[in-house]
Order: sequence, then structure tokens, then C-alpha cells
Amino acid sequence: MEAVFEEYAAFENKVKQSVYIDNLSPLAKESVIKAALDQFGNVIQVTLIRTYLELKGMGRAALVEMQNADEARTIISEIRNSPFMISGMPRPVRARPAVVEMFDDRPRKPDRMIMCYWLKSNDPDFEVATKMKRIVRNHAKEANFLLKTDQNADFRNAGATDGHHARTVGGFRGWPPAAPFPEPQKFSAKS
Amino acid sequence: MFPLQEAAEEDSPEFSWGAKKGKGAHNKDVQFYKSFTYAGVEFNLYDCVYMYRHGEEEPDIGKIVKVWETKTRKRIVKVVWFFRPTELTHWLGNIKVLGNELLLASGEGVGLSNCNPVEAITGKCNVVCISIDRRNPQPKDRDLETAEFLFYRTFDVGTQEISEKFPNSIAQIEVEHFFNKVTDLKQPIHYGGKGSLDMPHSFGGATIKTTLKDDQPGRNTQSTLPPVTLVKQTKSSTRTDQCTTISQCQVTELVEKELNKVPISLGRQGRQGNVSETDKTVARTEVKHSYCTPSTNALKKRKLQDLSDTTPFDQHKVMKSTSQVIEVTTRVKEGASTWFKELPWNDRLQDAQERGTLMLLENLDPSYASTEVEDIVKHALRQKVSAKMVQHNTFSNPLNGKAFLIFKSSEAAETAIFELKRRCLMLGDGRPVVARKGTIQDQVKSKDFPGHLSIGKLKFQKLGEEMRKAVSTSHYAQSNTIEHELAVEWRVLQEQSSLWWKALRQEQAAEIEQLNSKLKNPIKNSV
Repeated sequence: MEAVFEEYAAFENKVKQSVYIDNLSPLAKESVIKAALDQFGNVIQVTLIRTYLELKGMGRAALVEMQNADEARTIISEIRNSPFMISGMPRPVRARPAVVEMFDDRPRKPDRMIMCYWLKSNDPDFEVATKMKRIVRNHAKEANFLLKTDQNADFRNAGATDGHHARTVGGFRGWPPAAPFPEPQKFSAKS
Repeated sequence: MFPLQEAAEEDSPEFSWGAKKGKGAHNKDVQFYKSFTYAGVEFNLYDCVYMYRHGEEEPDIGKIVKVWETKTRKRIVKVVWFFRPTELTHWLGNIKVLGNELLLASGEGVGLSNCNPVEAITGKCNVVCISIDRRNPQPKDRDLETAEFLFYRTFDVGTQEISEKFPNSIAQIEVEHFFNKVTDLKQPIHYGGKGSLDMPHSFGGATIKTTLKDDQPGRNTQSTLPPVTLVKQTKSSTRTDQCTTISQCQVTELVEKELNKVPISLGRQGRQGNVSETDKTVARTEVKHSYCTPSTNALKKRKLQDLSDTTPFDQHKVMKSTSQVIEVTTRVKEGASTWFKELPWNDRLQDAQERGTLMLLENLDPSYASTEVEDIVKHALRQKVSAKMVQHNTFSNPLNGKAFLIFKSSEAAETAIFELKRRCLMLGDGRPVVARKGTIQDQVKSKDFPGHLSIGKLKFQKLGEEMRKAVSTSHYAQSNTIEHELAVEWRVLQEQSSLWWKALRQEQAAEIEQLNSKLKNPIKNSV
């Protein structure tokens, strides 16, 4: 039993000294990320996170485990304060402290008894539960929608920033005309 | 601050010319081109592009109609503009416009077109023409879905009139170039004026091109009709002596037969409606042209052959692929017992999805371990499964845990989903488990990432050694660079985004709380 507790404690430690980085370019490989963050301390491990349920083009994410929690905290505050770019610019990466849920190979929480039961259809809670199921599904759809909005905002911003070069050159169009438009000429039969 | 490491800076995006088109008639120093590559994107003549205008937030949209390089190595494009409805409010008045509609400029006058430097282009734009003009290849559903903008009307800058009619030419360019591009596999050969044509009216170019490219027949559930390029029996060049004319009605018949054949074999989305439409258009235009003397039987057969040849093999492809699909599923059912193989998780997921043994469980406690999930399923559904929790990322719901389950067989998965949907499996703290058929996104190796300019595969042919070794590296942005400004903009967007998500999750949590309180007998987990 002791071993289980220890294992979980070690896992929690790991979480504390890990940083979750996202908005990473797909070009960034583990080695690149490691090199980039080596500036901050000793990087133990870098794992790229697979996205199964999200849209493509949202940027990759990675879990970086540092040697201790202090280094992790330094990274997060530094990245938050000044834009840091990995493998390309100018979109900076984002860093957050890692949480338990981000690790999919986590051990069980010790001394947790999971209970589950099937609801009987005549149970008054059945209806509530069905509603809950529906709401959960709705939430997922809402999240999807927000994700698309996010992505659109990203593309728009990219257009604006990528278009920076265009801004220095700029185009000419001649529209709308400076003077108010004259009324369309009406051709009369007899001039 | 950490020093700026080898910053990969480019003064201007890469540019290279494509195919040449010819020299200027008046000025021999001007070289026209058909295409060019700018900033890694290939632009062709008649592509639609975004152009940045000084002082405007929204870029303009125009169609490239001429591309050239001047004597002084200046690269110029001439674009014909599309108007946004907001630019024409004065003339639109109360007329309704579609959400992403544009209007094409026509006529003569200011605002029709301009010549601008290539550097003002900020990107390609996907504009689809939905006009029912005969000369316009009708877009397919797929095109409409990926289109950024649509247009079917013109705005004459001279007379300031909005109209659905398209003139024969705009800015001295034939109007056909403004319509959708033809994506035939074989070019429809127009009936030339040569040869013994006994017809009083000329055929002139009313080839109806209902085009279709069925590149992914297996997966494309929205498959539309196969291309029926009405090649007006042009092979008449060899057969002019024998058969000079075509019976349009016959052609129509044949076409109809072909068209009718296909939906049945596809049987996917009953696009019968569409079939009859195109039939009618075919018939209509056929009838318009003069009826010629009917040809011989031999010709009929040959035409049938021709048509089936020219309705490119796509038709055959389509039929083959549908039967292929069926095969796959039957095969799958046989091979379901091989799930014990310990492949890496990703491959197993892909595999499971194809076999139909993949399921997604939602609304689990997010701190569950994968093994715990497997246990739950073992007890509740009495099924042995392989489970793995989905890693949380920026967008995951913090209250909600998800897990992928791989069942032994698709039937087991089906029954499980059915059970979970019909009845309610409650977890300790009042959470009903939500089950769904699992689908995962393909892990496409996309190199582009919005907002990122990096040295990827740009060809440094003429530049020196140093430039060739240049690589995008990681660094901080120094505050006196443009890069910093842009980076800060991105940070702002990031913060904004995290605020949205926070707000959404808060709302959702509140909803769940509300419902939770209605539960009468929750069994709390002992934690």
C-alpha cells in the first residue's frame, strides 16, 4: 500500500515541476523545445501532446518537465512577461502550470473508491441525469464553436500581422472616389 | 533579457516568377507572366487575392488579370476589384445581401481596376461565383463550403448599377476568366468553324461544363455527379467526311442516361434533384441550337463510347470505390480478434476507429486514471476494454474527463453505446456517463501555423552560405523590433482567448451545478 502512496506522491511532484506550453508551431520538435527551454534550467523531458479531438491548425502543445518546481515557475512567469518564440515568429508560445489531467499515464489516486450504479428508469433522478447528459453534450458543442472562433481570430490576426509587409508597401485602389458620386445620367429621348 | 540569437529576418518575402506569357505589344521591355510565387504561395493569373490598402483595416479583394515586370524590375499586378456590400450601401439600399457576398466591378471608370505592386498582396482569397450564367461552371457543395466569399452580381462603376447579368468582357478581359475555373480532366474542345457544318447557327461555346473532380471517392460522402463534359463530338475532325452533324437530342438522351445511371450506383445522398436540374439545363440549351440531321447508328454507338470515355473514368472509379468500402467493413468484422496486439496507442486508436470499436466516454471525473476507467467499464458493462484518458489541453473542460475506449469488437462497442445511451450510468458524485462513438482527427502534418513566419522550405539558391544556414530559432523578442510589436499583438489575442474560455467554462460549470443540486440521492465518493 505504501508503494501506491509513494507512487502517487512522486507523480504529484512531477506535475508540480512541469510546464504546459501551447501555441507551438507544428515545426517545433521535441529537441527544439528542449534546446529553447534549456536556458531556464535543466529540462528532464519533453512530451508533445496529441490532439485527438481538436481542430488542426491550432498549434501543438507540449509538457515539459523541469528539474524542480522553481524552474517551472520561472519559465511560466518569464514567458508571460515577455513574448518568447520557438521555431518561428512572431507568434509567441504560452505557458501554464501543468495539472494532473494533462498526463494520461497517471497512476491511480490511492484510497479512492469509485462507485457507480445504474439508475432505474423510475428513479426520479433518471430525468435529471438524462438532462445532464444532454447538457454535457451541448457543452461540448459550445466548446467546439468557441474553438472555431478562436481559430478564426487566429487566422485574422495572422492575416493582419503577416500583412505587415504589405502595410509598408500598400496598394492603391481609388475607391471610394473622393468626390460624391454623381447621379447616374438619365438619358432622355429627346436631348 | 536573453540576447537575440540568430534571428531569422527577411527583408521581404521570397518572390519568384512562374510561367511567362509574352512581351508587351507597345513596350518590349515589359514582360508579362502567368504566375508567380510570393511568400511561398503560388499565385496564378485570375486568382483572387487580398490586397492591403493604407489606412484600411479590412483588405480589399481583387482578381489578378495581368501580371508583369517593368523595365526597372518592378513587379506589378493589375486587379479587377470586388466590392464588399458595405462599400455600396448607397446603391444597395434595402436589397438583401448574403453574409459573405461580394460584387464584381464592371463597366468603365474609377474603381474598376488598379495596378499595384505585388508586395501589396497579403494573401490568396477563395471567391466562388454562384451566378447561373451559362458561362459559369457551377460550383459544387465542396467548393461552397470552402469558399470565403461568393458573388453573383456586378456593380457597374460607370452607371452605378447593380445587375445579375455579366457583360462579355470586363476591363478588356473575357468574362469567362471571372467565372469559376474549369476543372475538367480533358479540355472540352469547342466546335471549331472548320469542317462541313451544315448548321445555320454556330455552336459557339455553349459547352456545358458540369465539372467534378472525384479525387477521394472513398471518403467523399458528398460525391456529386461525375463529369459529363459534353464534348460536342469534335472528333469530327477525323470524321467530318462521314458524319458532320450531331443530333443534339441524341446527345441529350445519352447524357441523360449517363446522368441517371450514376446516382443509382452512388446511392449516397440522393442527388436526384441535382440530376434533373442539370438535365434540364442540358436539354434547354441543346434545344436552343438548331437541330441537325440525325446521324447513323454507327455514329450513335461511337458517340456512346466517346461519351463514356470522356465521362472520365471517374465514373468507374466511383463505382469501384463504393464497392471497396463495403469490402472493407466485412473484412473488418473478421479481423476483430486481433486486438490483443500491443501496438502503440495512436495506431490502435486509428485502427479502432476504422473497425468501429472506438468509443468516447465523457463526463468522467478528470482525475481518474486510465486503469480506473477500465475497471468501471468492467463492472458496469461487464466488458473488457482498453482505455486511456484523453490528455487535457488548453481547451478541455476542467470539470469533465474524457477517455477513449477500445472494445474487443464493434458489436460490443455498439451494445455498450446503446446501453449507456438508453440507461444512465451514474458515477459517484452525481455524474452520468456520456458515451459517444469515437472519432479522432487525422494527424495531418500541417506545416502552416497562423502567425508564424519561419524559414521552412524556402529555396535559397542565389544567396550566400550564411543565409543558407539560417534557421528559425527560439528567442525572446527585443522590444525595439517590429517582431516585438507583432508578438505583443499575439499575446493580446492569447489573453483574450483565455478570457473567453474562462467565461464559457464558468457558465457551463454553473449549469452543471444547478442540475446537480436537483439530484436527490447522490452517492458521494470517499476521497
